[in-house]
Formats: sequence, structure tokens, C-alpha cells
Amino acid sequence: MNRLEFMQKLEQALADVSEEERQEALQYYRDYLDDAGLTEADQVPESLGTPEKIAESIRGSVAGEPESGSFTERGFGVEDSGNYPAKRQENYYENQTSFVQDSRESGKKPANGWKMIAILLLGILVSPVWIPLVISALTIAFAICITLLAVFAALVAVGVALLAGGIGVVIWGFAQIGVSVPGAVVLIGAGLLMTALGFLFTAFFGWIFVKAVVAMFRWLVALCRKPFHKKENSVVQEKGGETA
Amino acid sequence: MVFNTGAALLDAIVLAVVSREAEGTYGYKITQTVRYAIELSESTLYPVLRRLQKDGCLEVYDREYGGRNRRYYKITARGQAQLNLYEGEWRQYASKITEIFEGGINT
Repeated sequence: MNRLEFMQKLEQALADVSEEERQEALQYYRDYLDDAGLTEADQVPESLGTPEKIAESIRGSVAGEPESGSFTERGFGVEDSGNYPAKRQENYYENQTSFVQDSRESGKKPANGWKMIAILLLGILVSPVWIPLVISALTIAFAICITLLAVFAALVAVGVALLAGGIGVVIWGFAQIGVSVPGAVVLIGAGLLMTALGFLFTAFFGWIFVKAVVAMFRWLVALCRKPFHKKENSVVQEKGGETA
Repeated sequence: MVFNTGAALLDAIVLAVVSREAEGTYGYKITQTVRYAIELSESTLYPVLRRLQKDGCLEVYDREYGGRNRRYYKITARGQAQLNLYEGEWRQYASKITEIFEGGINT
């Protein structure tokens, strides 16, 4: 396949890892193929492997984070072709089993499955406690946000009032020039001051208001994403049990 | 290429290749150098490099090259310590196997 197709397939195959990991991997291969001097229409070398296998090894690497050695074997999903030089040619991936690694490989998979079930059961049993707690916490957070927004909005309103009032006073001051010049000057001066303050208030608190709204939205979105990230990790744990 | 390369040995090889360059080096070059010694897929090294980086044995930085950014890998103090360990292990391992091949060990 050509480079364009390869990168597209790789991006698809990496759909279930985190955005950060996916972008890092794609960037690595983009750089790699640039350094190899391949344009989008060029055929990628067979020695690069298939996008599916690459994604698999990356997933394995991401999932087995604390362990360093053994996931390399799983990540490549390798067949042991032994020591036959002729057969070696078909193998794009080395069989990574070595005497040092075997001890590290032992039984991580089954333990994790039971742990998850236990946690799930516990969660269900304790739900009468944590569900109301979560609801209260969310409600309080929501109330705080609304209050803050209301305060900022009120301050913006004050600013607008000052602004409008200030302009009014300036106009009134100009009207008084005929009656008493010092009086008019005082009014115009005060009016200008009010206008300036009003403008500052409006601009400043208006800006804070917008920032606050944006920040709250972001926080909400991050909160909604959290359960999905956790789920992702536990799904990926199941992968790569094959030792052929 | 007859012998398998374990994950530890692969780590050691990658660390050694990177350590040769004071300023570090980039993925494509590392891969081509390693492929000089052992037959492996051109994608085998990405997970290795990534893991060495997460373990603090390699650090990354970007450098501009030909109008684009190229990611360089550089060995850290921790990586160098790990490499020294590996090299010590390898010397022992290789010399013992050589002894066996040359009939030096009688059981």
C-alpha cells in the first residue's frame, strides 16, 4: 500500500488509544517516512509491517505500562519460528522471548479480571451511599458556579449602569454651561469619571464572566470523559493473550 | 540472523546506539543502525523508544530540519546507568557462551 493509505489505516487502527498516544505514534511514523524519503504515493516497504500489527504493539505497550519486559512479546503477536534462517525472512517481528523475560511474564491477566469484578460488585453494593453523595457534590458545584456567574453578571450590570449614567451626567454638565461654568465643569468632570469607571467595570467583569463560563464548560467536559478513559484501559487489558 | 533478541537486549542495543551521539539521534537513524546488527521490522523500535522514554532512560526534544520538526532521542543519566548494567551482563553472558562453544567448560 502507499504511504497515504498506510497512515490512514494506522490512524484508524489506533482509534482506541488516547489522543495523546495516537498523535505521538502518528507523528513518529510521519517523521520516519519523511526521513525514509517516501512521498504519499510511494509504496511503504514491507519491512515496516502492517498498520494493524503496529497498532497492536502500541496498544500492548500502553496497556502494560508498569511492566517493562514482557509486553514486547505480546505486542508483536509473534510466532516462534525457531532457528530456521529460511523461515526468518517471513517474520517481520522478532520473537522476543528470552530467558530473562519469562519470570516477568507470569499471570498478570487472570488476576486483573477478578479484581475488576470485585470492584464492580463493591460499587453496586455501596451505591446507596455514593450515589446520593455524588449527586450532592455535583449539585453544590453547580450552585457555586451559578452563584459566581450571577455575581460577575451583576458587576457587569453595575459597569453598564455607571457607563450610561456617566454619559448622562456629561451631557447634563454640557447643558449647564449656560447657567454656571464652574458647575458645568464639575458635572462634566464627574460624568467623565463615571464613564471611565463604568467602561472599566464592564470590560473587566465581562471578560472574567466569559472566562469563567469557558472554564466551567471545559471542566464539565473533562468530568464526562473520565469514566470513558477508565473503561478504555480495562478493555485494552484483555488484549494480547496470544502466545501462539 | 539465527538468534532471537530478547526485550532486554533490544533495550540495551537501542540505548547503546543512542548513547553514541552526544546530541542524541532520531527514530529513522536509530532503526537503520540497529538493523545493521539484527533483522527486525522497521516498526519494532517505536514501542521500545516510547517505553525507554517513559522510564526516564531517554529524553526527547524536537529540532528543526528541512522545514519540519524532527524528534530526537537522547540518553539520560539513568539510561546510561542502565546501559552500563546491560553491557556488564552482556560481557559475562557472551564470554560464558563463547567458553562453551570453545569447549572450555567440562561438566
